[in-house]
Amino acid sequence: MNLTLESFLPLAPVVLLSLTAVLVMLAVSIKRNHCVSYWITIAGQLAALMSIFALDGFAIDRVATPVTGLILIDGYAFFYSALVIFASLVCTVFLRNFIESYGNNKEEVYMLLLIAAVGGVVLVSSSHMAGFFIGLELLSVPVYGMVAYTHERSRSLEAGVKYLILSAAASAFMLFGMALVYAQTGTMLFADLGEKFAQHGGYLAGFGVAMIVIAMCFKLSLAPFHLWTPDVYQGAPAPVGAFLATASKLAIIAILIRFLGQVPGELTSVLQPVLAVIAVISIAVGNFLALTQTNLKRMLAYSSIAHMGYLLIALIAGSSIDIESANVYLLTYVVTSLAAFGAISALSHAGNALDAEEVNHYRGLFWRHPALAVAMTFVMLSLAGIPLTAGFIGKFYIFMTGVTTTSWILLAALIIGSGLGLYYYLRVMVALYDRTNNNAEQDKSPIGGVSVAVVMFLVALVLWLGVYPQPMLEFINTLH
Amino acid sequence: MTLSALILIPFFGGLLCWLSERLGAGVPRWIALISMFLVLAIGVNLWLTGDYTSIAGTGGLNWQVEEQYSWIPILGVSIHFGLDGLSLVMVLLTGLLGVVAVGCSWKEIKTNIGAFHMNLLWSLAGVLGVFLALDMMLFFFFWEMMLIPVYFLIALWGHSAHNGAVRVKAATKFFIYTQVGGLVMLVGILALVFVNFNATQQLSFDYETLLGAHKLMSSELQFALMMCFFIGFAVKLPIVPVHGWLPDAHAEAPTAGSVDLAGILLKTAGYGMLRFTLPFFPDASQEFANTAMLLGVVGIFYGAFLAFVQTDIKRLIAYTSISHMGFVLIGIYSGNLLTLQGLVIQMAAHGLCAGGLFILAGQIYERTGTRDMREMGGLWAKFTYLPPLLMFFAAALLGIPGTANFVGEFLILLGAFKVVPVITIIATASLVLAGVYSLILIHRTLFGQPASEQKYADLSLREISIVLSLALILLWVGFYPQPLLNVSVDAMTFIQQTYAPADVSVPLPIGGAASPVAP
Repeated sequence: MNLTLESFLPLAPVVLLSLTAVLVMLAVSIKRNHCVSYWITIAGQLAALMSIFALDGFAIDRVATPVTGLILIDGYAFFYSALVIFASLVCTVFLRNFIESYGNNKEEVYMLLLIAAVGGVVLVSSSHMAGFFIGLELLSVPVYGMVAYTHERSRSLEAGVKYLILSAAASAFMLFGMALVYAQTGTMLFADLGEKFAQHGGYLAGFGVAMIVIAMCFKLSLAPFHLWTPDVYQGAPAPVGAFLATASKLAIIAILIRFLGQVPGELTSVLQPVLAVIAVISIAVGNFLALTQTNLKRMLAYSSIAHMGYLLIALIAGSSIDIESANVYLLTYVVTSLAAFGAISALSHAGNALDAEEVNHYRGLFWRHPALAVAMTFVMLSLAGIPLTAGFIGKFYIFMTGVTTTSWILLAALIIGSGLGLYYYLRVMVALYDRTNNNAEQDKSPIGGVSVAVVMFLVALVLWLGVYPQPMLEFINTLH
Repeated sequence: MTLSALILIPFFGGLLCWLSERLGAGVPRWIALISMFLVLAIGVNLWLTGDYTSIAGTGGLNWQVEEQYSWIPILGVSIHFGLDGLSLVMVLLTGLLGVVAVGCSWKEIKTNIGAFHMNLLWSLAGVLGVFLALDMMLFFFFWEMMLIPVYFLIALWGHSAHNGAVRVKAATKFFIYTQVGGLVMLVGILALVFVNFNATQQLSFDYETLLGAHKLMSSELQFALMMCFFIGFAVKLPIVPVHGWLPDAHAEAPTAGSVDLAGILLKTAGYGMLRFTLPFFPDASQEFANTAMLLGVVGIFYGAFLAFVQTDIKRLIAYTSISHMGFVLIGIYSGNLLTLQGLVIQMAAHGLCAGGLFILAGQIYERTGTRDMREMGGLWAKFTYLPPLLMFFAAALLGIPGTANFVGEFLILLGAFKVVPVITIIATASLVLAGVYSLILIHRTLFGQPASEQKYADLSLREISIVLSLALILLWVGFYPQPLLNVSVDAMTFIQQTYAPADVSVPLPIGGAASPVAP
């Protein structure tokens, strides 16, 4: 293979992000300065985001470009890369305000974040088992560090360790699965799987694929592999939670879609009913357990389990993956979740023992921070999937998938789940306007101005996508 | 632009209310009042300028005003509004009750006046959208959109006797019921759209395009989709097994919220059944008609019996709504022109009558501080104007001749008798129960020994004029319903023709002075 500069050009986002990570490291070793590290991180991610557009990543006539055999850059890869980088950029902004009051070293968290973003981009572009695994580990390992970053809080440390162990177990599962697939087919390239499988046949590959999918379910916190989610969401600092809920999840779904799209149908058709059951259980478990939560972070954790269940419907209903629905749903979910965690981040500080995570903390928020409260209202409505918000458009697409593929049971789960979901989203929403319990002491906690501005921007995006989704849908329609 | 204006005026009016609160408590009230008067004026103007009988008897669609804008072409969704006689009656009702709702909260609401009026106006904007939308996606948007402001109205400005938790619970219940019903309907809408898409390769949510879709599907599928629509509307109407949200929502809602709910929101369901369920799925609806009418009868009796045992005056009125909506259901599914025309009157009359009663209940509560009828008693002696007005509305509730309710019920029963005599006879028997609960209402509140010696202030000019205007309209329609019948005749003929083309029922004379029930 001819290694020219030209052939590496599509990797520009990865290169830029990696360079930024190195730069942050160098900057820290020369002189610790929170502000400098922060701006380097922001600039690096902006550059990476720009590079996607500079490369004309979304051009309609773009052909898929393989790089080094591990990675395949196409429209989807660019779309998901852009989303991952956007999410991590937003998390960076949330992090700054949060970590400012942290007593220990603050700068390394940006490095970790950047490495994780690199992992995300590699993951969504990989077309080979090796790229898949490298990307996944590159994405997960820094996140252990980020979750446990505020290790003075015992919950944070606990969450970090928990995530480390379970994630490592999932990775082991996946490696074994890959080994089985390789043992059967003799190839690691996704694209060759079908052909090689047809030649060799056998059971091992089926087991392998199943194990890989199970590992992915772990990472996506789909029931019954969801047990780590609430604890990790609760323990992780709010901005890290944002990263975990958005960038990390969407990268994993992207690769899952890619992988399942290439796996021969004989292997996936066995998995389909299993995944359908997983989707229904996730919707049920997520929504039922969210009902009684008084901790906003835990509630969001359970609600994310349910949302992943909804999303799974797009992947499994019918004979092929409804990629368009999945894309629309992911985009709307990512924007909404970012805003939700952003609002928590804006009120939380690493210097405090706890984040602003109890629902009680938000009681009467409207009378203290009207803008943030109104923003959170729309976020909750969007999570619940009410019209005029982005969440509805996402849910609408899932409904469309369900109806076109006549998956009535999944649709019933979706409807019941949405009904249950309303209960806890509305509870948070109405608490924001509660006048009775307006603690004066909570008034004192400062609020991150920039974080609030970003949350407002995200909410504006939520409303825009909800009211006038045409440009987004058109854009996603042209992806290939 | 007229139809968009109908929706945009309350929308922006609401926004202005919110922003103008800092200028003084009165400003949002006046803005809200002016907005709703504008809506009403536009409605009246549409009535006077439109010709709603121009295609009499042909059974076509008669859109007097139609507007269409591009919205989400990739999904075949456009912003498409249309107004025919049925929409017009509903728009007029909304405008009128909107004015009334703003008027009756003038003194009741003292906190966050701007935000309250924003929610009130936005819910009305949503309702107007429902009545005008001719694109199923747009319709669904408005259908769901109107819930959020009503949720806030109940949860934040609701009944203050309990702590907030009870209000929030009632509001949440209301929201979840209607939202789940809405999602079931969404499945129906989508399936309908895709059936049409598979047959014609044209992705469209447009009403007129989808009208023919029932010819493209099997009868089982048609029945299933009809049920999706039916469930969505049944929750909102409400029909008995799925009515659980209504009494709680009414008991906790502020007066304006109750007026809004009973007067207008319930009518969106009746409207939806007439506009969408029957024409979209005529065969399946006919198949289902008997069951639906049976449900209607159950609702009539269930509502009446439960109304009878209530001690809370607002809950009593709420249960009578359930009872009256049973009549509406029978009217919808009997499907001849007489019942359909009676239905329009019945829906309007019930909106005005229940609205008036809720306002009077609110006024009693403002003065006596209780809604428990056991603690009232003897109010006749303490007011000059309130008791006769309450008596009038109670009489209207039981459908005394001379009120619009009588015309509505009479036409429905008369028309339904030709189709389903047994059900009609049973339903007619319930009028006795209506007499009982109406009399109980009057008896417990107005007569008997006063529970206390306390003196109360009588109704102010504002309050009297609000209630009196409703009463006068009830009387006017009661004595001379022909103008209203003329407005809706084309729209109803269309529905009747699509639903039951074989049934040639007695045509209504149009525009003449003859009685609407002439042989």
